[in-house]
Amino acid sequence: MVDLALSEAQEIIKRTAHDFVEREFPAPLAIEVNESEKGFSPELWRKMADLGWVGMILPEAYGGTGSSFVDMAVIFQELGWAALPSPLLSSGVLCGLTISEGGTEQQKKRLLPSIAKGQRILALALTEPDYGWGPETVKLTAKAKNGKFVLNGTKRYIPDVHIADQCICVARTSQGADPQEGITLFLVDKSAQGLSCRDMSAGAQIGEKLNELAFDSVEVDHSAVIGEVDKGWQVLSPVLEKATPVLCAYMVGGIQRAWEMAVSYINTREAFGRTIGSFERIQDHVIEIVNALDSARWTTYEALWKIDEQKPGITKSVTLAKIVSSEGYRKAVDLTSRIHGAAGVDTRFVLYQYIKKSRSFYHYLGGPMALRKRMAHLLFND
Amino acid sequence: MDFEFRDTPKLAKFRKEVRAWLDLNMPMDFEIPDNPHDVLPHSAKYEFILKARHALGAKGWLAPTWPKEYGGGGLSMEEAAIVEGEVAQRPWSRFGVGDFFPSTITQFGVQIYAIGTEEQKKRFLPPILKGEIIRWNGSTEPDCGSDLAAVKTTAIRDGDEYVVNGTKVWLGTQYDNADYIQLIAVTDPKAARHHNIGLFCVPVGLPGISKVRLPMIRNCHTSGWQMFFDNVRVPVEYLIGGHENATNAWRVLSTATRFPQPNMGWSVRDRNQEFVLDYVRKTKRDGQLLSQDPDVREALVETEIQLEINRLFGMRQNWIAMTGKRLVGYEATQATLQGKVTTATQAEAYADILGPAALIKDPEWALFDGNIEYKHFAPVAMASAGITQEVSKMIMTRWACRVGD
Repeated sequence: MVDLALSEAQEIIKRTAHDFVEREFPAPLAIEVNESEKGFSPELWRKMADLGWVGMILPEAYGGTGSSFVDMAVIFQELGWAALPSPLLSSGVLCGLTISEGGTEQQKKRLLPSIAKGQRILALALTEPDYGWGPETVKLTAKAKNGKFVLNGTKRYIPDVHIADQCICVARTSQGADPQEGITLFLVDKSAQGLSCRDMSAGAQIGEKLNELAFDSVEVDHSAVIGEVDKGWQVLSPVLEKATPVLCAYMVGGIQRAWEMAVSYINTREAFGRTIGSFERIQDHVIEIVNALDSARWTTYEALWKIDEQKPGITKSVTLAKIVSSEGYRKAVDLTSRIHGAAGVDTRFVLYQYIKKSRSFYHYLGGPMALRKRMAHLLFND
Repeated sequence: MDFEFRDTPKLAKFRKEVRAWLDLNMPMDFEIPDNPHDVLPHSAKYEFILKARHALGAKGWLAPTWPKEYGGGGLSMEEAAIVEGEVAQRPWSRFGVGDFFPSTITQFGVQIYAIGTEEQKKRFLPPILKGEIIRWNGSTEPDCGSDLAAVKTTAIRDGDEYVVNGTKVWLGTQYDNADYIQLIAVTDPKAARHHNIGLFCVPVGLPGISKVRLPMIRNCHTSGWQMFFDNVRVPVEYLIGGHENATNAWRVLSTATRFPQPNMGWSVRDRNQEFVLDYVRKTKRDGQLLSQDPDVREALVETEIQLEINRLFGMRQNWIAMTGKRLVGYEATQATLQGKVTTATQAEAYADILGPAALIKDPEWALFDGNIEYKHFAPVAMASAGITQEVSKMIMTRWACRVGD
């Protein structure tokens, strides 16, 4: 039966998460942490791990709690509401799932419990100078040599890797007609010789911390391969798909907060002798924000539900959710900013953090322009 | 969470019964057009629509959740959703039972149920709920539409009659004749706004009523006629709720439905979109399939996105109705608004892609049986039907902006 309400247990998760971010991450701290050198609070990360959030969708056998994607998304929505930055998506979702779905028993036992506890942070190194989220963009090479693999190439626009212990590097081990074949996933220590990490976003006004990873003849053992050699994309692709609506939930939370900020402001700020909320041009903006919010909310949760219940049409739903969330988040914060006038672009005001995140996540895991092309392929079966 | 409608064993049995009944009573397999009124009188389709209305009505399925004693189906919301869903899946339906009797039940029936006397309920509701009578909506006037409380038509009491004077516009449809007018009028010109309005069910044959056809862009639901009321003497038996309700009809004109009705329209793929997708997959221009043209693809992706959001808002609306969670909020208005935005997006995209073929009704060359031509101008014609987008936003504002009334 159609039931669009959260379960009682999910309502409790939501309340817990909301109380946590309200208590632990008020707006001034949100600005301070987001603007700090690392853009990250180890103290908050520890608390989040203690609450069991990092291992939420990882299997119980490896230290996780085996919760549903909707459960995880409920937390992400609250984190997004607070603009709380953390490597939870990178480590707990993208890399954790990659290992739990593609890794050997030994890798799972060795890596997942510490990931779930937040003691080990992983980041996914997929995108390259030839930017995109498909297998054809993977050019970084891994060549077998003396029983090892040697990695050469560049990864760009990688979030969280500056605070990670290791990364999962998506590399090309062979090149055939099908770009999905010949990709291998490697677990690489950040301290590996020949690997350097550079903050690309230094000095930029808008956007999150993004890094460039240069692999200069980085040697890794065979044991670093996650899954099979040449078959990495088959592991990674479904993980990217599942992680996408979780990110969308974070964006839904951001739109929710933008709406709340807008409503609060229009009902208190006065101009021309009345609150600005009485002006229909202002009201129109808020209606647009609410429409963006509900569009993103329901496309996202339907995609998550399909993943949890293994329903058909997951790819279309995920694609739809990301297009709608990316476009909606950007539109919502821009309108909120316009409603606030110059206060909306004052970096002492927390809205700035949402403007940045709306831009960073706009492209992350796939931008609308590319995803609209994918949607066309799905519509025309070509 | 669950985004799927699933049957319990008991409901599965009921669904089988519904299917069997529909197969037996309405086996026609042609498609009704995008707008059921876009049908020539006495054509096969027109006759079928009447037949379907009467068959569904006699079964109680035009008003599936209403009490049987007034001509409804006495069904639970789940059962009603099955009836709606099964009707919507048939090729002769566009989006369900509503195709066959729009708004008479959901508007007028509800208002009569809410404030009518028991005698009036017994007299008017069964024929309305069974689809036997047609009422035209006499609300809008030349000088009032969205601001309905500003009506100027008067109905002044004279003994046990009310003398009606005024003009109503955009009533009815081109091909039907009304039996009654759902008339709202000022019964006490001296009373305060919202406390001065009565609701009547006026027989059209009363002396002093005349009408002229209005040259609207054709076929929209609220289309055809202007009506004049010149000293029309309406007996109190037609004043809904009787003398004591003569001035307080506003409360039912402005509130939510008493009998929430599921609408499973969201569960059916939009047939125009399906047609156009199929058309561009098969049609070449300049030696290239239209479906390979990047602009065509982008345009149809946008319509698909809007349709998907529309589907989800419809599902949410249905869920709200089914669970009785909240009958008043911004969501219903938001869904209506999204519907209008979606249909306008479709119209623009299809016209861009199909060119002048989207403008013709030619029996040989018109696309999708003329539905594309209808789809092309419908958003213009329907933009104001029921509620304008602008007023939708004003209503949403109260909830979405938390701004006072």
